Amino acid sequence: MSEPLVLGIETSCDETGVGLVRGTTLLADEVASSVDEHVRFGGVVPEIASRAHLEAMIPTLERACATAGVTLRDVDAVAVTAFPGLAGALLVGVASAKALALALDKPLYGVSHLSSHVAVDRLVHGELPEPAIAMLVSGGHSSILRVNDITADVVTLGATIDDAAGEAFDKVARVLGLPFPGGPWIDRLARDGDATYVEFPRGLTAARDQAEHRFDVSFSGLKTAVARWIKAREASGESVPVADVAASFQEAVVDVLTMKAVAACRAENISHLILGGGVAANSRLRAMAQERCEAAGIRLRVPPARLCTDNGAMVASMGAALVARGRPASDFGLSIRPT
Amino acid sequence: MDTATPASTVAVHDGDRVLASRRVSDASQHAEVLAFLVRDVLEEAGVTMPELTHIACGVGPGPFTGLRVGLATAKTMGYALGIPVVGICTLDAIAREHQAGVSESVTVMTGARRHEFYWSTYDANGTRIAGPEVAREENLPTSGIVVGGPSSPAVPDARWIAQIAVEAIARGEEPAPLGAVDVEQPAGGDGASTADFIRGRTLLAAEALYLRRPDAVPPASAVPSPAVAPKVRTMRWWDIDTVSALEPQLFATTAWSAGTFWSELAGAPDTRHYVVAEELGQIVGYAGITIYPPEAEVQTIAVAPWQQRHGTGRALLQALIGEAAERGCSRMLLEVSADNAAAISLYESFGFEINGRRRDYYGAGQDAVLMQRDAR
Repeated sequence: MSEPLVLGIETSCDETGVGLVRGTTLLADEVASSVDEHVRFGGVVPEIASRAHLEAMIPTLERACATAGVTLRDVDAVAVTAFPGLAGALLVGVASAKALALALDKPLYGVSHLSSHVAVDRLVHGELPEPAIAMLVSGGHSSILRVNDITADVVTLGATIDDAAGEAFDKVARVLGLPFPGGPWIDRLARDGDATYVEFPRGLTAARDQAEHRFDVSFSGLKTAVARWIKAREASGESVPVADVAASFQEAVVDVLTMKAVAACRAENISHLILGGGVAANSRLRAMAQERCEAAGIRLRVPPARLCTDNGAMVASMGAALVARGRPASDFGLSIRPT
Repeated sequence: MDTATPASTVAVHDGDRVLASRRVSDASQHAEVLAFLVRDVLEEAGVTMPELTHIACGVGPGPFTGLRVGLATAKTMGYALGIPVVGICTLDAIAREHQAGVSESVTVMTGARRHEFYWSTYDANGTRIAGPEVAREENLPTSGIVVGGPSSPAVPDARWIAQIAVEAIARGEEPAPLGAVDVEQPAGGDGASTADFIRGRTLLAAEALYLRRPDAVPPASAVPSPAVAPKVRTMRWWDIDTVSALEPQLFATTAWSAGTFWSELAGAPDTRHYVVAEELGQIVGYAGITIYPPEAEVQTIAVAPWQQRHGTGRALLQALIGEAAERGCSRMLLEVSADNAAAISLYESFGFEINGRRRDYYGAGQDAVLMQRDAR
């Protein structure tokens, strides 16, 4: 008998994702994004995202089944992101997942968006090493986690105390006159820029921060420093070297993130690091993480960029891990826990 | 099922009668209880999922928070079971329940939050003759028999959602799609209101009934120019249609869309503060700032064409300066078209000073002037 077929639904932000996973095998990963509707606003608008999820849900389910060559009747379990995320957006996914579980008479698993960003790597590199340190960096999150058991024991060691890393990318992109979402633009421009052009501040890396914020990050000050630098430059009548500023900003973010992740591995005496989240698609972050992990004797796992952003496959993968370990299903009273 | 009001309600109907029904009234619990209710009514009725032939869902009007739970549930269940999902106006079900006992004309009201209410009027035969509309408490219809209302907004029972659907399906009615109605479009566009669209229809598509705000922008000639100071209040989402209809008249090619205003208001009160100026109950201007202490930046100041030079801009700016100060901003910044002498002189009268210029900011030959005001 083959392994159970798990359907995953992700609606925590602006992507409506439906994934189908059997064991650690990815069968379908369909995403409908409302990002185009948010582009003109320079950020995600919760109300628009929620309406878009409602419209996209059935077509995305249909596409996922077609891609995987299965029917809904073949599904053995339904997993859904229950937290954290935008309340109105999560509600649509959870209501849909409950309806599926109810109509198909199959178990329902409410899962964590953060754990799912880690669990997605099962689909690429096989079952997770445990314990592992995981660093999740996206538009909504920047967390360093200790993963003892992805299905039952994930401890947050640190997180952003203000802006998420992806948020900082978006805001700095806006200041530089680049489109939303800013991450890919800064990544691309930075390749032609001088990362040492401006020495931007590295938040929470000073000795005095180590007691309270050893594995926390902060990007608000960095964002402000970039904006100030640009303003000063403009005021003096000089042009702004966009590629150099982008590269210098990116270097500051990536430096702090990789430094903290490696420090967490060392402090916890763990030799596996997993990256996840949309910012893990950043080429400089991937390169520097590789470099520093090699130097520290840490084995690095990073899913391909396509699976780093929000998607249904990661939720299905998380669900499959729960099913495989025989974890109890959620009941129909499953609540969302918004950000 | 229906989740368009604080109640979550589910019933199962076999074509002749209601076999089982449930209703729970807790506005914050739609997502938690609805699946349980579905399971429970089916169990009580002795009906299994595959036996269902149709799903009927209340489509409001109602707050989207609850409404989307019912719609997502109904649509996904229908898809999984391979059966049709239809929409029923929630107010129709409440009217029908009331009229089951008495044959009289009735107006139904449900809560729309923020002192507003959804309402519809039905004749003695149960035909919807007005609405659905949304109105503030003081503008609600007061004559005739009212079910619900400000003191006790009505909630539906899914028995009547099911009953209406069963009858309409038996009559061979086809669900009416709602594609042409979009409240996020600026008012004054295509003109089809939700009420117009569903008049004479009981069976609707399983899509939320969004209500367009009435187009409150009057023709310029009809507007008096009273010498009274305009009243300035915080901008709310229901002002967006009016404001975004004014926008293209004032800013032509750089006009903000309704979506931009939705986005901006999403940032209030944390980092945004938007206000409107009203005269005789009509919006005659609006303005907004971003707030990132110690700096606040003016994003827009707009005064309706027929209202300019009546102190509206002054009142709006005064309100923004007050808010910025209260929120700990010691510096205010703005950009203004270099050829807008009237605006520049208004800003100067409030202590703004020119501190820079951006070449061709608004297009070739149209420079922007940067102005700054520091709290004394």
